[in-house]
Amino acid sequence: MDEMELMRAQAYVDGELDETACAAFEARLAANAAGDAELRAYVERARGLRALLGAAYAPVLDEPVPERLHAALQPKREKVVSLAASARARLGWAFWGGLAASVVLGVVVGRQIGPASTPGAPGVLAQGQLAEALDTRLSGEQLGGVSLGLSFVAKGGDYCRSFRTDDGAGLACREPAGWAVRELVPVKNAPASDYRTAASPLPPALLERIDALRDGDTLDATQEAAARAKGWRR
Amino acid sequence: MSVDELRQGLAALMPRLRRFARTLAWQREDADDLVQAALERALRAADQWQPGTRLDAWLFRIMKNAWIDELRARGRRSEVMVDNVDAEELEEKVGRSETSGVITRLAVQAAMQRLPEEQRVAVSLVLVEGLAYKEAAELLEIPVGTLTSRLARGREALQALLVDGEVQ
Repeated sequence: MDEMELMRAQAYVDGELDETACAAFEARLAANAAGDAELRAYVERARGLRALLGAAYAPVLDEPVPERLHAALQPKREKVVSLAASARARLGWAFWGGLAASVVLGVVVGRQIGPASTPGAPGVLAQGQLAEALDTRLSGEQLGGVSLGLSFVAKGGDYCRSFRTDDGAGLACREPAGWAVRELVPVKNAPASDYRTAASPLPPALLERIDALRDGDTLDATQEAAARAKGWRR
Repeated sequence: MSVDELRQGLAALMPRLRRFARTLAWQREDADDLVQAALERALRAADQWQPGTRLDAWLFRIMKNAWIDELRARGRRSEVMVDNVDAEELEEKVGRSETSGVITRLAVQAAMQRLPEEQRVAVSLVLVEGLAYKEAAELLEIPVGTLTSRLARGREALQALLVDGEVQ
């Protein structure tokens, strides 16, 4: 059986021959000429293989679909982007790029935070206006597009602060190298008046993260002013 | 087509997306990761979807690309995993209990995993998913002749592993 013949036989088995070619091929099979034994064997085996493959994967169609796949189709709920989790980091970069571009925070992506704090994790240090706001503004105050939320001491001993921007909310902790952005949560279409008030709600996902991180209560105004006076270092 | 309609279309396709993924990735978890990645990519690129063209082919293409990215990222670890399963051992078992559908299925899936990536995708799209040559070739962005030749080589390899190895 030459190459052309093999391709024609394959096309026949796969239902790819047009009506005329198909009829001619079947006539030849039916003629049962001695020289065509190889051809007939090929067709038979190729059909058998198709059936085997079909049967091998058919049960997948009846398996219950995992919940996470249904969830993937739901409109996105707000979701904490953990910069430390490498699997999620890729999603984070896309969002981060958008955030940085949209509010011109001047944040530099990709710097390493000290290896001691987050081994192997990509780090993001706040720069420019975000860094300045974190350094100088107290809770409820704002600077440019950034307004400050809660301040607290994290379990590692660092001061951490939550902040809001036009389209996101985040959490940054003061490490030796500067303010390391630990979390970012996209917040879509937050009206400006929302986050300027003291009552502005933080996204629940971020609040959960703060609760998990904090060691003791959030700072009151006096404690916050004292922390700022010491440059947010302990 | 609105995004909501796209979501509905994807939900309806889910069983087939999972089946196609299973021909690419050996482990069920890996396959479902792949489906999830493809769904997320499709929804992010919803504006690129052209109504009137086949949604399944679009998703298969996205999934195939996601799979290639995944393979590059992990440096062909999947092949090692299949070797660990020991396809030869499976074939032996198949020889001993031809009536066991489960073992036959496993043997077929293991044989598929041993095909070169290009042949496996061609076999999967045409022989498992039932796409026409033209549709599969367009999806893979290759000429039909290249597709049918990959298909023929894939078949030959599978026949050697399975049909001629007394699985029937």
